[in-house]
Amino acid sequence: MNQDLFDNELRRELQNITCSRQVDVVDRVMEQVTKQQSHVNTLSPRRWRIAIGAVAACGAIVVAVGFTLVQKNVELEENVGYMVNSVTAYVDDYFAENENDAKKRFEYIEDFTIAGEDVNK
Amino acid sequence: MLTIEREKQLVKAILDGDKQQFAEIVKAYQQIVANITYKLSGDRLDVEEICQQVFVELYTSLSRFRFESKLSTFIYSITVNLVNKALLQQRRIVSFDKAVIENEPGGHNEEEEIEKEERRRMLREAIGQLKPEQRTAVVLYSFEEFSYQEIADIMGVSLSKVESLIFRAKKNLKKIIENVKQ
Repeated sequence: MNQDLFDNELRRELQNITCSRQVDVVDRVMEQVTKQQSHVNTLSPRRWRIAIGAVAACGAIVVAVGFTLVQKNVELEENVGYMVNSVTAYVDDYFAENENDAKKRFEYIEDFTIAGEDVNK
Repeated sequence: MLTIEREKQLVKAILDGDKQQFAEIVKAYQQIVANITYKLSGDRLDVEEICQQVFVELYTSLSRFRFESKLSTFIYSITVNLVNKALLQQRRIVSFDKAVIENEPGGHNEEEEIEKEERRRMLREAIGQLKPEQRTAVVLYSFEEFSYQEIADIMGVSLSKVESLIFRAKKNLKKIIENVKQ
């Protein structure tokens, strides 16, 4: 059979296959539709479960991250406090030591100067 | 068939809570949904049952419809999916053995009628042996009102795929019929 003839016959034949009885499902559909809760701006139970699950998961993540950060912050504060104390102590020691040194030097210079004056005299 | 404007009005009214407007959509499209179902499934599925399922499914998914396509395309798409899913569950080859064929006008010659009936029977059987995608494409192609683009939209595939599916379906149908004749 020629392809065009076949195509035409196929299309005609398919067009002839048709549901002979008149279908009327309006009442059945409307009965089911009226039974359903209005779906406008509402979520199905499955979607509610998904939404609640998602919110709970996000909440858990936020709590976990927050807790970790607080822990780290405490540790950080402790570490920084320790470092500050150490540095302060070191600086105090340093100055105390240097002060002594400076005093000694000053006394030495003073002595020397006095001695020098004496020499000069 | 409803105009796009009317479709929009109805969908808006339904989403605003006026469920009774849904009856107009059912009335407008139930027969064509029945025809698509019948052409795709032969006598294997309960056409009225599928029609009912299609419109209930349409109602529940109406809030997701964004008018990116025509409402009718959306309805036919639901129909095709439901029919193919139901056929897959049955795992049967579609048969048109009990199909009711409308008589064509003319052709009173008895011999001619017998020959025509034989050709139709072979074609119906061949259509039943096609793969679901090819059968869907070729069945939708038989509706004069569907362009290739609309068939692509209904099936959710590209235009080139529809062309390829219809081409392969025709080729396979011809091969099946020629094998039967030999």
